[in-house]
Amino acid sequence: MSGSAGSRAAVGGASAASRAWPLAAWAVVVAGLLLFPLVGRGFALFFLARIAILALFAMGFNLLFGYAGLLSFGHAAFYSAGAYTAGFILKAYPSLLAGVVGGVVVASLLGLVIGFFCVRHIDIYFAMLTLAFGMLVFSLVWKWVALTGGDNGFIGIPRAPLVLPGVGPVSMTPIGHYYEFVMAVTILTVAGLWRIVQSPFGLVLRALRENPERVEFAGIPMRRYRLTAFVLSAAVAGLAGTLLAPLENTVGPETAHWATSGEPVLASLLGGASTFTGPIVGAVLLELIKEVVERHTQYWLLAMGTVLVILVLGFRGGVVGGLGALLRRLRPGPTPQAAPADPPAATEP
Amino acid sequence: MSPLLRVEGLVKAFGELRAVDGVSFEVEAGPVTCIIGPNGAGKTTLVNLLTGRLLPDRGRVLFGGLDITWAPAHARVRLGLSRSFQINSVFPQLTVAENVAVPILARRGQSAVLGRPAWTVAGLAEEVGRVLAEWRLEPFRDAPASSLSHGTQRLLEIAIAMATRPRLLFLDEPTAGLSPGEKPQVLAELRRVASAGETTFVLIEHDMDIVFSLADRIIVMHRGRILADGAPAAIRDDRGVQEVYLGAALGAQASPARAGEAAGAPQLLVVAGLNTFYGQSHVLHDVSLTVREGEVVGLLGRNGAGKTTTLRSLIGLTPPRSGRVLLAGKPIAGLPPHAIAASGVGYVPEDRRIFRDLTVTDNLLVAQRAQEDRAGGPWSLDRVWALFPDLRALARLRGDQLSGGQQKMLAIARALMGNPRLLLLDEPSEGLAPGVVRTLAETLRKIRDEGVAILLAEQNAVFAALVADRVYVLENGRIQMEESGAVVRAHPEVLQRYLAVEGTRVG
Repeated sequence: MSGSAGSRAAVGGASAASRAWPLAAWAVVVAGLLLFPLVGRGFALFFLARIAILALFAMGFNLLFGYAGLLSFGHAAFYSAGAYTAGFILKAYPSLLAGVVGGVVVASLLGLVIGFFCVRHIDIYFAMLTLAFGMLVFSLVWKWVALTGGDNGFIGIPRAPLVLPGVGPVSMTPIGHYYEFVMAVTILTVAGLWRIVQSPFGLVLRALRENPERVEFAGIPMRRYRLTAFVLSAAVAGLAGTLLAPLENTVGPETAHWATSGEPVLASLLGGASTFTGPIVGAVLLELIKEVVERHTQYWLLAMGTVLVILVLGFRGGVVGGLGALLRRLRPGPTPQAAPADPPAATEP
Repeated sequence: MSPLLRVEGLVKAFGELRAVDGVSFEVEAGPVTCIIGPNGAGKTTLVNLLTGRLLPDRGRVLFGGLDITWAPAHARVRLGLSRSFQINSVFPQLTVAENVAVPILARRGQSAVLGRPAWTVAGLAEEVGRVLAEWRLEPFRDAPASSLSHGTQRLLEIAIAMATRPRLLFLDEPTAGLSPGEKPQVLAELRRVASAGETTFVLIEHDMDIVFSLADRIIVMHRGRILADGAPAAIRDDRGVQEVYLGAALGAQASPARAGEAAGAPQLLVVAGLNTFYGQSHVLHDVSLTVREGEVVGLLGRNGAGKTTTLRSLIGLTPPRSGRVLLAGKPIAGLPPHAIAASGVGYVPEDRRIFRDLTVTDNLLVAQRAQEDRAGGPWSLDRVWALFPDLRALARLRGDQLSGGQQKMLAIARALMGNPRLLLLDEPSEGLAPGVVRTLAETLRKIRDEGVAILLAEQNAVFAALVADRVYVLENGRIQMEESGAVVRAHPEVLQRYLAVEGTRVG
């Protein structure tokens, strides 16, 4: 194979052989997750479902942060909007699908409204504005007792049966069933997000992160693209929320608190915001650390903080980014980018 | 048929400064237009107004007969009006191929596609390949843009703009920061694409070789207005243009030079082998020069020659990567700016940086330093007033109430309050009316006679010759010649090769 043909193949995507491996690895992970109820019981299923929900939440957040370069501190607003809406619907009309779809729609609409104001700004102004909107939503949830139950939370949400066209009602009461539902939704959404970040739209998002002005001068209305990314991100965060409500049977106001907005931020940083899978890995780590440390001490935040400081100082790319760099160093194969006929670029001073 | 671009009475002011002050012109499809003019003439502001980066205060812009005065930038690009940037504006972490794919997808209306991988979009890979081949970027296809050399990034910068397939393309200093070796390559590409005829080019350019070898038409801007507009030959002979570039109107007025005296004086500043970079671009190449006690030294050169960078390297704002700088025998290279200033170097940047909200008096007092015994003792308000009688009358005005020329005087006076042994002045005569320039020349000579040596960077050769005991000429970051002020005054033509608009060969 000639060199130029090789580089052409690299542009079109990795070659067939190098493509098969990750695909096989993904298939194993997916099968493992879906088959887990055969061996796992009660709490393990509950715990994995919670990880999946946080992973979804973080994936949604990171579409905006890792790809479009916009750091939101207010994603709990969409998460809680999804959770509460699903709760309201499920209590009034026991259909799981209705709750999930309704929650996603409301979270997306909220994302459209909040995003409309936020995407005009970038950097710290964007972050502060999303934080402010997030707090606004929190105080609504907190004070509108008649609707949300205030600080008692909205309780008694049923795990309503799943009705699909052609499929009779599937009871979701056994945790094993609900676990499968959460996993299926998570896996499908992650696959969809993968499609999105590979798409032309995903490329434009990464370009936006790098240089928004040049995107505009490439002939692309950048604000509209930012808003679209914002709404997509809010929809996924909302979807995560809708899955939470039936799992826990209650939704508390803490789902809207800014500390909840911090969780996807932590998960993304922990796992690696510049990688696609980083938020998933980060969500696993975050929930594990929380669970393990909480058994020994109530100061789990202390452990969390320590881990985060180490990662940020030592592992700028998060766990996934750091491991990737390590693998590339250990396996001196063909370097990903050869830049022939050009002296190595001088490093920035 | 209506012209490709029609500009009517465009005005843009920043505060009191009218950066673009009633500009009207038309661009027909085909010929290459170059916009030239001194720094601050309003060239980039004009292009920003035409491409939608800024909106005008007044005036109209018509593109292909369509009023686009208020259209957002992306809409103009979609209509076929594109631009490149003076400072590389690429997508650093994206590969070269992705950099070019973004504008191509936008033009095809496929940038919002969500459901399929970008590289499966029909025809995308082919068109990206065509653009990369055209700009000799194919070898770097999968490399991140940030790994490219500055010169190659410059090509990518233009390739991104070209990938929008513009009918009219503004290139803002396409060769800025390129080494002399890299320029011909960019030039050849531009000439080839221009001759293909699909795109009409308008360039902002300082390199006269490039201007005269590419342009079918030259627009000269000065202080926000169009000073001259015509064929290259006509522009070369235009007296007004020569004034802007050479300051010819001043008339040679002999300076009571002290070159003879200074020649024997001890060396105050010794610079040897200075190399300075902006990021990856190598701006100063082995610059060596000296300034003696009681001497005024001029540093001449066109825009982009490296004059400002030399001064910034000396004061420590852009520390040199290699080379020695000795002030009165003590090394100062690599020290932070405040330490260099404290050791006796005053710096007046081109944009003056006076405190706008402080009065003239307060501006001066803020900078005052009690000083060990140096020739003439420390500078005081009274001593400054004696030198700048006009400032005394303005003592109670706020900085932003002064005119540009007055602000310039204040900036120099303020630098003196720090008791410098050496004053670095960046383009002191720039933007000053001829009468003010003469006063300035006198003042600088007086400062020298008070025992402060001066190194001044100037585009205005006549002004520099008027006050300097010695001049250096910088070109492309290298010292090209050194000559005594007396010789330059007697034979100004020795500088022509480096500075003049005329005398530049076409080719």
